[in-house]
Amino acid sequence: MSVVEVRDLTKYYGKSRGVEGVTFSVEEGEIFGFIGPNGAGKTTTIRLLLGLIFPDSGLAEIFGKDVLKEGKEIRKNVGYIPGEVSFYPEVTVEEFLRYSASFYEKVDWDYVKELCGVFSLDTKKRIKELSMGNKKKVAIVQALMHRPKLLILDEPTNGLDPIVQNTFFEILKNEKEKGTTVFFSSHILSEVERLCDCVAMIKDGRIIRVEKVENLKGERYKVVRVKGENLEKLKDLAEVNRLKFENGTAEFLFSGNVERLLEILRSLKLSDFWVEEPSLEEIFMSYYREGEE
Amino acid sequence: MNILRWDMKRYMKSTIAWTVVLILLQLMYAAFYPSMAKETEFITKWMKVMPKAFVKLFGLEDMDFSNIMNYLAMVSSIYVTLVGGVFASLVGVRSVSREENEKTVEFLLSKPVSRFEVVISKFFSSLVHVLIFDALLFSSLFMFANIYSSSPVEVEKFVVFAFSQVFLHFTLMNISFFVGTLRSDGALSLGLGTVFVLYVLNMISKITDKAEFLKYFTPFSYADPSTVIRHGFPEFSGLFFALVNIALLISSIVLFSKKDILV
Repeated sequence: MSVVEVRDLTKYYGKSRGVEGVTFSVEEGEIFGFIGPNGAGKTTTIRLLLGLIFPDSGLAEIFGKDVLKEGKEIRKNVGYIPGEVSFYPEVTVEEFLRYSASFYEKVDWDYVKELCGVFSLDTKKRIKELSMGNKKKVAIVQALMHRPKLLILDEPTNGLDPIVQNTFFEILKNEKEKGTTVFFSSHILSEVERLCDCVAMIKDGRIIRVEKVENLKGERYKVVRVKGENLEKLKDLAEVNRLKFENGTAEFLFSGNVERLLEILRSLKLSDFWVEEPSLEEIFMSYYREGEE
Repeated sequence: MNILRWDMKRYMKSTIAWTVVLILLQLMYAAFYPSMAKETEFITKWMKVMPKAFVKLFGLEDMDFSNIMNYLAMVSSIYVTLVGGVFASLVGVRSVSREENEKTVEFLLSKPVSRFEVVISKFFSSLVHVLIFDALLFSSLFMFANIYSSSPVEVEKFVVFAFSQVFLHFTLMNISFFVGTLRSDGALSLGLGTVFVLYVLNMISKITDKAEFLKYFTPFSYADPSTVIRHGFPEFSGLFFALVNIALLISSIVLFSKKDILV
């Protein structure tokens, strides 16, 4: 069963584009990466899911319920971590967490304590006294306190140092094991690569592609560097993307099957070659370029 | 209820501060009364040489300062009516707009609450703040009037006067609440600006007969202290306040339920 179902969602802010015809679905128990450059429409999509803004057309459902009609019911089982944390500055962390808890029927206070401990959060401090990273930790705690079935995260690692990021990823993995679904927006590809099962790429308000992460990282994509003669031939091949020449070596992103790659390599007079797994970044860059063409 | 409670606590200090300052100001003016009462004859003469417009503005024509209620009405036309109105407006305007300006509305709406619950809780919390302010202010004022008056205070008149001011404050709060819901940028200046414009409209309507029609467009004229104390609070005024407030509240609810929250 899909936890999040989005069909043809379109939102304009006056004349400026928010998102256009966004369609995707998130299956139960998966970590779904939502990736794209700043201004691509990630936050707009999240606002639509949370019911903060209203779509011009299209449909968004969470747990099979329309976000416009049953938003309150849906949000009982949703935890949200905002991209930029803005909480009541004058209250203490503890007061804030109690307020946050007052919205839910049931809150797992042992879990709250555990999380505060793991993050070494001082709950006696006022929100305004906290650093950006510590505010983010508060945001994580308030999003998890009621054991939601769906987590919506808008660039959650913004402002967290690498050690805390690791802790946070461990928490997400634990949540996933318990069956929690995670919708994870980011512009940092390595974190999506590390964590997500499935990924949707968004650019200029449109979904370019939805794909399993394992497929993206699979054999179809290789970063190839070759040294030798006749390298100019590479320019004419359809499977060769993002070709660069440097000091007698050529580097390119190969897409196609492995047999075809070997065929190409054999046809060149090579003195040396290297084949590497591409990062998601490189794959996405090639998608972005295809999108433009 | 949790949003209402949160807002009550959040703004209680501000409400208490405004209330204490206003009570002290009223105490100061009330303490002047005995010396004013002694000089009634002189003041009446003095009023005659004052510009007509000024006298009308403060409702001083044929004013008999031997009754403390008349004196209080004059003082109240500034402190209770206008300054109290500014407080009420502040309470209304910040309620929704501050959540938007400080972006905490994003947190609030990510919780399992409906837009209606948010706006109605905030409205009632604003209302309670205004009521606390008015309850403390008028009970102190009643006490001061009794202390400094030479003759017994007419309770009925006082109650009518107090209720007219509560209706006024409530309406100003409601107008500002609507303004703060309409837009968060510059909501405070827009809300307070509206109150001052309405206050000035009432003044203009009093100065010249040509502009008298303006009084129908401002809640201040319906709750003008010296008019209320002399002539009471007509049913028509009550109807006016009821209709305006219902219309404003419905508009705020509809507006907040339909607006895009962009933080």
